[in-house]
Amino acid sequence: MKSSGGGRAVKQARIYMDHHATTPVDPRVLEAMLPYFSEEFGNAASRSHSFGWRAEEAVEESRETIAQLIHAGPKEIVFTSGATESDNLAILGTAEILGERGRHILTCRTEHLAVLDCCRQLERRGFQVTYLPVDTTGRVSPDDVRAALRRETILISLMAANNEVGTLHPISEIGKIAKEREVLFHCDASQAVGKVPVDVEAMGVDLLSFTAHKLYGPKGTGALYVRRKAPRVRLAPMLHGGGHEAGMRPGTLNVPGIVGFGKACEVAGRVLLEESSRIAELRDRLHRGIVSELEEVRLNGHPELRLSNNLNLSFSYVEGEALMLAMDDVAVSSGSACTSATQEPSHVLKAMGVSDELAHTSLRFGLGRFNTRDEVDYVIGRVVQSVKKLREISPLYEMALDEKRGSRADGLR
Amino acid sequence: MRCARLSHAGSLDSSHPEVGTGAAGKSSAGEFVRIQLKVRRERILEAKFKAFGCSGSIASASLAAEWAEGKTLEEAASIRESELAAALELPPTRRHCSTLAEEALHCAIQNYREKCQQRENLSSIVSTGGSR
Repeated sequence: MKSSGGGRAVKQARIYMDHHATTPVDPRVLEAMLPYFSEEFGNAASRSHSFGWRAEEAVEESRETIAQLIHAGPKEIVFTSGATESDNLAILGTAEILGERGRHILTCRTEHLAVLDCCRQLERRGFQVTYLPVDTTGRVSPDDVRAALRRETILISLMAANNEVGTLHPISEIGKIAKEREVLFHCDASQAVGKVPVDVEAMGVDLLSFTAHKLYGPKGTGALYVRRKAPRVRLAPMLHGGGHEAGMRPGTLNVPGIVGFGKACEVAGRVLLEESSRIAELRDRLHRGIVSELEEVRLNGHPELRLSNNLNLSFSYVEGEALMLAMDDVAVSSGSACTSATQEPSHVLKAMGVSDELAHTSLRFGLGRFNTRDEVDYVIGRVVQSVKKLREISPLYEMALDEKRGSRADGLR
Repeated sequence: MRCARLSHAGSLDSSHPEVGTGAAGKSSAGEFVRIQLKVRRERILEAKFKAFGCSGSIASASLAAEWAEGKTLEEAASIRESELAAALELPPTRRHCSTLAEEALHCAIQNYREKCQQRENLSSIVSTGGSR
């Protein structure tokens, strides 16, 4: 019997429930992009002919639509290759400009590695970083933010919605604090844009990262919102060579990618409320279906203040990678060590106080636009069947049952 | 992982004099494996495993139990994690799975031997009229 990892035959997953990792390109988005690969293939920076002008027009139209989704102005959108690059530009770019004024950054332990690694990089350059804790639901406290701010703080970086457990941070409250103390506020909103209403004014953010492939757009295109008024944010560019994007991000624009990003944002803006409520129903159905048939299943993350498509569950006594393999016609992900590049369990679950053992047993479901009720019902069956099978062969489950029997017997005496 | 072929999954009575029980790993590290052996006259009549861990841990424990059954204790003691890893084509990052299975198996053998030794010690105390 072969195990997973190197050399096993890959079975095609039939049902996709890993929409936090990425999303399929919506057919409407693909259709909008195609002409920009073939007939309208011009470089948007080519000033002297219609190929360039048409490409530029398409880029600027998309810029407008993308800005609208987050209630920003089009000039405040800088195109990048994705949220990781946007995070780098926001954090390292701010540190370079404001490094003389202060060298303290405030962030949170549950941030995406793109943010955490930028912060670690700044620590190596002599900056100080405070990694705020979260409560057991994964939420950071505005009071903790206020208490941690110093005179030398130049940037707060906090995500809007957590990619693993879906928990929503109190961004608007923190935005107010940032404004009061005149500290720049960066928000990685990759998981939030397109799923919950995002309004950079209401949130009080100065920098916002997001990316196309989390909202049914293509991979390889993202954006950074950079505030132009009150205050006008300046960033040092991370790349050099050509002055595009107001000098903040040189390089030939990914025109088809940007067009796709624009279309994805346009669709998201239209369907957001209806879709988010429909997907929440499916997610709740999935949750109810699973917990009605299995005991000792724990929800990770905030029960209400969470993304409508996220369900992160820990299944006691059963390890996540084995569970995923047992139901390998369903694509999900896990917080177990065996599935991570670093061979460590999820840092997010750890920060929330989830025990290492439970972290290894976690599964993350991310539902999406094209998931159906039939798929949810099928997945409930597969999860229940797989967990039961794995609990049968789990020594921890056996020990837990023995303990229960023992204590019941004690109760009878 | 094909659950249907885990024919050696199960438990034996750990209090039985003929059963050796061995375990390895930590649940906090995401892997804990138990192997039990029923032994008579130095030969393993039955080998059972249970595993909490990734598919590699489960497969390694299962294979270790499969190989151990029918062998003598000495033969089973010479089963190496490298052989398990090779048979399962485990990548380098998964070698901890086969290592754990080897540890649990050897621990079970050890446990059985200790039980035998204890029985021998007890019967020799009884036959010499106790420690008075």
